[in-house]
Amino acid sequence: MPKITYEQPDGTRAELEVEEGMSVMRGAVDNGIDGIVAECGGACACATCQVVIGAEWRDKLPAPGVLEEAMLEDVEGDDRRLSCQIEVTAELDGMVVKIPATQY
Amino acid sequence: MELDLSPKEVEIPAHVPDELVLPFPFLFGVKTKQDPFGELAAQVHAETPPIFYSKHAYPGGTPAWVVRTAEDLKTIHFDTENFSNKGFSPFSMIIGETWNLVPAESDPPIHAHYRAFVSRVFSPGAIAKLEDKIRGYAREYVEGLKDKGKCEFMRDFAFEFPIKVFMELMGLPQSRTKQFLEWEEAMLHSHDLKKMAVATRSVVDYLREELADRRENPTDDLFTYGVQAKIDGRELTDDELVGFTFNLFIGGLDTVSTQMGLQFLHLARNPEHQKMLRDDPSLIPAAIDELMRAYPAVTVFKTVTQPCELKGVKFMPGDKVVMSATLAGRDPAEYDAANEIRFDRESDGHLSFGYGPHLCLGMHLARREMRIAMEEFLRAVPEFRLKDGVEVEHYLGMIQPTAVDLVW
Ligand code: HEM
Ligand code: FES
Repeated sequence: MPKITYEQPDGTRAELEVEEGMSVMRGAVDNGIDGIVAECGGACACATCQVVIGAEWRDKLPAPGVLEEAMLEDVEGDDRRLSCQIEVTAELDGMVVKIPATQY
Repeated sequence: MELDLSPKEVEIPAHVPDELVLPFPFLFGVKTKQDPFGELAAQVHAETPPIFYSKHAYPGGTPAWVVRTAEDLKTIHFDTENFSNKGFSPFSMIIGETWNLVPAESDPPIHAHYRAFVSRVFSPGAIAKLEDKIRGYAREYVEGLKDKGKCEFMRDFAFEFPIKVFMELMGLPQSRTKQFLEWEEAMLHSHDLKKMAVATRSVVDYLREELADRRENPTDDLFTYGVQAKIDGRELTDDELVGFTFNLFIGGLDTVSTQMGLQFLHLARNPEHQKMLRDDPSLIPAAIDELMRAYPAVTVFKTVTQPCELKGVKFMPGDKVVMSATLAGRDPAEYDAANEIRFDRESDGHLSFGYGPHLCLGMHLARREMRIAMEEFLRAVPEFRLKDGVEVEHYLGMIQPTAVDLVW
């Protein structure tokens, strides 16, 4: 299974195996990772599953859809993504996602 | 003409087993002196199976399924194939029109296009920019009442404050606030079909005028945003624009007022909670979410589109489903000691803004309004309590205290 590393704002990291086809959000929520609220449950409707993706991984991800882009309008930094919209694939093995200090 | 909310003689459809036909206390148009949360919701959880059928649960006194657990409500909120959002509100119908609320009364695939269009202006980032404006309005009310020693919180603060923010967003003059409040009351609280229709007609005419104006005189408000927007490569129709602006009106004003009222009622009855938040205002966001969990006011409705089954219960096309956030918030299977209010509850989330693709569009705005209102009120007003001798009553339907008389 691909490994995804979730990094908290204080730098602590958790490396998790996440099944291919699951979302990065689901991987966090099902394993009790703090800081990803995911209020809508993965419908791209809440923007409370934000993560920061470093430059080295950004280009490996499919571009955000129009709804995801809309949800991220005016959100600080252009390296944010909604983790419910990122499907884990073998290609993403080793990816590090940073969890922002707040989702609101 | 009184809106006929009286229980009708109803025939139970063949696919509904007799033993699932049960009473449900949350009927539209009813007032109660009982505690809707600690008593009524708790009673439903104690006495009924997870999914049951009730003869008068749908507004207008007709039958519907009631789904009582957070788990099943989440499943249905996500299942847009079997459960539709179309046509749950009476407003366009009572004035002889055919538009739908946008995005509330739409289903996939167009729903996602609508959300992509509206989410841009309600994203957390876009809403954060309103912080100072919202605080300015909250201060106006709090400064006006802090030296009076008392207030009726709904009338003196909660009803008007979200209207002011709405006027700001829509580019409408603040001098119209009282007019909007009158329309809102007639539409949502009069339970008189004629008054509802007259008010709805006034609102819709007004929205259409403003939309026409912004086509000619674009500014930076939401009417302008709507008339200039494209969804899926085309402009929105006039009916879609009315549905959109009407949806904001119907979804974004009374809801915020109600939740604020319920929050301050709780604080008035629990001075130790007031003290906690005065001593450390950084606890306010978590407190608001716990109060949203424990006092959810909004019920939404879905219609079944094809035969389907959940937990062994059969649903047939046309069946109505009551999605009560109020029940979800007090579900003992979802929350430890569901009837206790604990600001430090490890967050299990809540369904008080809905769930799934239709999750409240205005959630980030609503949270900001409620947080700022509480920060400003607690900063300016000393310990308050309920006026002696008043008996608190709530409207059911949307669960709203009829009055919140505070003294300090
Ligand atoms: C505390 C206050 C509020 C509560 C409790 C609340 C509750 C809800 C709920 C439960 C839904 C879900 C409906 C469903 O599942 O079909 C919803 C949807 C919606 N709300 Fe709110 N709401 C609040 C404030 C607001 C505000 C301030 C606005 C806008 C200014 C707003 C606009 C909407 C819209 C447009 C929808 C439809 C979303 C869609 O169908 O995709 N709400 N709200
Ligand atoms: S979980 Fe709601 S947008 Fe990702």
